[in-house]
Amino acid sequence: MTARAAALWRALARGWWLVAVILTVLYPLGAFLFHGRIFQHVDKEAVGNSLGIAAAATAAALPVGFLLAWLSECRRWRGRGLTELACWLVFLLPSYLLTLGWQTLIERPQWMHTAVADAFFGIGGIVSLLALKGVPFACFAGRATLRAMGAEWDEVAAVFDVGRVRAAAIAARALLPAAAASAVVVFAESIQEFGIPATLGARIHLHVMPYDIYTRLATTPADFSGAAGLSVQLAAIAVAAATVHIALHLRFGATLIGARHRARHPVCPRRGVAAAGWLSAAATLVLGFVIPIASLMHQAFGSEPQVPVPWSSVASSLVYALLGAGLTLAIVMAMLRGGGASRSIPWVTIAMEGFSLAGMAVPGVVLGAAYVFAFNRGPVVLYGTPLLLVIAYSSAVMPMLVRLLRAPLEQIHVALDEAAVVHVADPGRRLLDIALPLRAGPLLWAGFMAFATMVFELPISELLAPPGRTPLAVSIVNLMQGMNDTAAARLGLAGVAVVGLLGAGLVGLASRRLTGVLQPGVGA
Amino acid sequence: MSAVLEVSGLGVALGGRAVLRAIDLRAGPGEVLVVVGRSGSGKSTLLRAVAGLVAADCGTIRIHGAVAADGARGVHLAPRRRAVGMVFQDYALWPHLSALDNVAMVVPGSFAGSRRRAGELLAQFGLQGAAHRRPGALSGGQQQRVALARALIGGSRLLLMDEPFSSLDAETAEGLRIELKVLARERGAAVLIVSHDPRDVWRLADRVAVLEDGRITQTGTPEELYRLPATPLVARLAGAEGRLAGRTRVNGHGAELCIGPVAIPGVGPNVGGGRSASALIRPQAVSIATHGGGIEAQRVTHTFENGRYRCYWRLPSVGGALFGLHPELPAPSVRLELQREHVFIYEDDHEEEQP
Repeated sequence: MTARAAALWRALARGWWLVAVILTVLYPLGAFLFHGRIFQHVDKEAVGNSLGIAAAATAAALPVGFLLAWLSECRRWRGRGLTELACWLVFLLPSYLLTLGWQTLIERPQWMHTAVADAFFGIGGIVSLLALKGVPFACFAGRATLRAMGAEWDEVAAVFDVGRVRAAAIAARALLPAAAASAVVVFAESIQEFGIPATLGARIHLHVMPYDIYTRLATTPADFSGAAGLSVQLAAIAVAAATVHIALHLRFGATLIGARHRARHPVCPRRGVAAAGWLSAAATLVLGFVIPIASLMHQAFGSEPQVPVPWSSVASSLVYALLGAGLTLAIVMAMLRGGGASRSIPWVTIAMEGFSLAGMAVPGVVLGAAYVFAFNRGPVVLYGTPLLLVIAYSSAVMPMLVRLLRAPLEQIHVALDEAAVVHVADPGRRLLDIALPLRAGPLLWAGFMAFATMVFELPISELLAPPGRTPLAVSIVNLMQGMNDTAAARLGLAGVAVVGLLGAGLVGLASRRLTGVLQPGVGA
Repeated sequence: MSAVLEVSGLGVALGGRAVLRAIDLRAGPGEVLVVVGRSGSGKSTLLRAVAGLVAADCGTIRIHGAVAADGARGVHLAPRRRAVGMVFQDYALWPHLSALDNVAMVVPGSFAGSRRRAGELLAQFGLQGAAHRRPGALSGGQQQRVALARALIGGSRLLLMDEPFSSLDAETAEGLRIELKVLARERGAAVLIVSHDPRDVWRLADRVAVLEDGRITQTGTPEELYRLPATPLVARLAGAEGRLAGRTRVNGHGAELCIGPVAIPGVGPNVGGGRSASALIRPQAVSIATHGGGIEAQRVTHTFENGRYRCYWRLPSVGGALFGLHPELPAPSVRLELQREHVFIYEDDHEEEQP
C-alpha cells in the first residue's frame, strides 16, 4: 500500500463518522429544507394553533415541573424518589399511548356526553396531554440548571444577613433563568410533538404544524414544497427556542466561574411547599402513567379485538431499534472520540453543543420528510426499505445520544486509557478489560434510551415504514384511527412490557456487575 | 555506568507551541532524577514524551540504549514497547478492577499466573489485606502503592512518576519517599519524577533538573543546586526568599548589590558590574550585628517556627524587606548582618514571576 493510500485509510478510519453525519443528517435536511418556499406558504392556522397550544401546555407544565425540580435539587425532600419515578415513566411512555389510554377511558358510557369528554375531545384535551408530557422535560431541564448553581447563593445571603426582601431577590435572580430554560425546553418539545396531534388532533381535525407536514406528504400527489416550507417554519421556531436555551445556559453558566461547586446544605422545605410537591409528583405519576396504563389494560383484556393484532410489528420494531441503537452508538462514540481529541479547539466544542441541541431544533417529522424527499430519487433509491428506516432512526436519536454520553465519557480521565496504553500490551485486553468496562454504564444507559425511543418512534415510522414490515407505532396509530382500540391497547402494552423488561434487566446488570464503573472519577 | 534513560536535544510542540526545547537528561540504574518546575513549565509533557504518549518533534530518547524516539528520523516506539513503568498523577487506577486485578492486568500470559505474581508483589508492599478492594475503597497511600506495584511488576528498569506524592498527607508521602528510594536501589531501576514540590528535591533526588519555560536551566546534585543556584527559581527552590533590587558591583571578594549607600555581598558568578539586579536571601543568612555595622532594620511581625523565630524585617535605608530566622526573639529595632553564601544576586534579565 502506498503512503498516500495508507494516509487516506487512516483519515477515513478517524473521520468516517463525519461522512456518516453528512450523508444521513446534513444532506437530506439541506436538500429538503432548501427546496421549500419558506415564507410563501405560511399556514396561519397551523402556526397559530401550534404556538398557542405549545404556550398553553408550557404554562401548565412549568409550575409543576419546576417545583419538582427545585424540591429535588435544592431541598431535603423525601419525594425525590417518587418524582424521579414519575418523570421517567411519563417521559418514556409514548404520547400516542398516553392519548389512547385516556381516550379509551373517556369513551366509556359513564364519561361520554359529559363536560369532561367535551373538554377532552378538544383543545383542552390536547393541551392537558401535552402538559403532562411536558412535566418531565420541565423537571429535567430545571434540575440540570439548578444542580449547576451550587450552594453559594443561599450561603452568601445567609452569611451577610441581607434581609428577606434582598434574599428573595437574589433567589429569584438565580432561579428565573433556570425556570426560563425549563420553559423553553417544554415549549420546544410541545410544538414539535407529533403523537398527540396525530391521534387526538386528527380526530378533532385540528391543524398543527407537525401533523400538517405529515398530511402534505401522505396525500397524493405529495406536496413536498409545502411540507418543506412548513418544516422550515417549524424548525425556525425550534431553533429560536434552542437559541434562547443556549443563551440562558451561557449567561447563567457564567455564575459558576471561579466558584467551587459544593453540594447544597440540606434544608427541609416548608410543610405547604412539600405537600404541593408530593401532590404534583403523585398527580404526574397517576395522570401521566397509572391511569393511562390501567385504562389500556382494561381495554386490552376487557374485550376481544375486532381485528387480528399485528404482533409481527413488535418483532419488526425490536429488530429496527436494535440495529438503529447499535449504529447510533458506533457513530456517536466515534464522533465523541474525534471531538474529544479536538476539545482544545473552541469551534469543535461549539459544534458538539450545537449538534447535541439539534434534536430540539429538528423534529422527527421534519427529518422523516427530508428522508422521503432525499432518498426517493437519484441513483440509489432507498425509500421503502428497512435500511432507510434504521438510518433515519439513528439520525433522529444521534443528538440525544451525544447529549447523554458527552459528559459521562469526558469525565473518564484520559490517564486511565493512557495507563492501559503504557502497561497493557494486548490490544484485545485493553479494549475488553479496560476501555469498554470503563464506559459500560453510560453506554448501556444511552443504548437503552436509543432503543426505547426507536421502538416507539412515530413520525419517522409513519413516513418511512417499509411495506410488509410495519413498525409498532404505525400499527398502533393505524388501529386507533380505525377505532380498533382493543387491538391497539394490546399491541401498545406488549411493546411497553418488552421494553420495560429489557430496561429492568439492564438496570439489574448495571447495578450488580458495574457498580465501580458507575462511580466516575475514582482513581483519576 | 550505562544509562537507563538518555534524552538528547528533545523538542516537543503541542498545538503549534513549543513546550519543550533542547532537553538533555540522563539517568543511571538506581538513580532518582527529579525534574522540578512550576506549573506549565513542561514537566508532564517531558514525562509523557519519555513514556511515548506524545511524539518528539526533534531530538532522541534512548531507553536501555535503544532508540525509543528520534524526531529527525520520525521514529516513535509505541508506549507498551518502551518497557517503562509509570505512576500517573492521582494514580489512574482502573476503578472497575480490584487492586489485585489492576496489577495483574499488566502482566502478559495466563491470568491465573498474573494474579499469583500480582498477589506476591502486593504482599511485599503490605497490601495483602487490601488486594481484593477496588481503588475507591483504598486510602491514598494504598492507592499509591498499588500504582507503584503496577508500574514495577513488568520488571521495568525505568520508572516514570508524575507528581506522585501531591495528593498524599505529609507523613504518608515521607514514608513512601523512603520506600521508593530503597526500592530503586534494590532493583537497580532509574526513577524519573516530575514534581513542583521542593521536598521531592531535597528528600528524594540523587540528581535534579530544573525546568523553566520548556528548557532545562540547571542540572546537578541537590548539594550543587543549593550552593550555586543558577536562576532565581532555583534559588527560591533552595530556600531563598524576598527580593531586594539595586545595581551590581564586582570586587575582589565577589559580587555586591548596591542599594543607595548600602552594599550587600552575595553569590553571583555570572554577574557583571553596574547592572540592574536583584538579590534573593535565605532567612538563615540574616543575623543580628553585634559589633556595629550592618543594615538598619525594624521588625514588622514574627512567628514561632520549629524552635526559631521567623521575623519579617523592614529595611528603611534600603527600601525593602526580608525574612530572618533567629534563635531568640530579637529587639524591634536592630542592625542586621547578611552572610554572603546565602545571598544570591541575579541580573534582571532573569525574568521571574513575583511570588
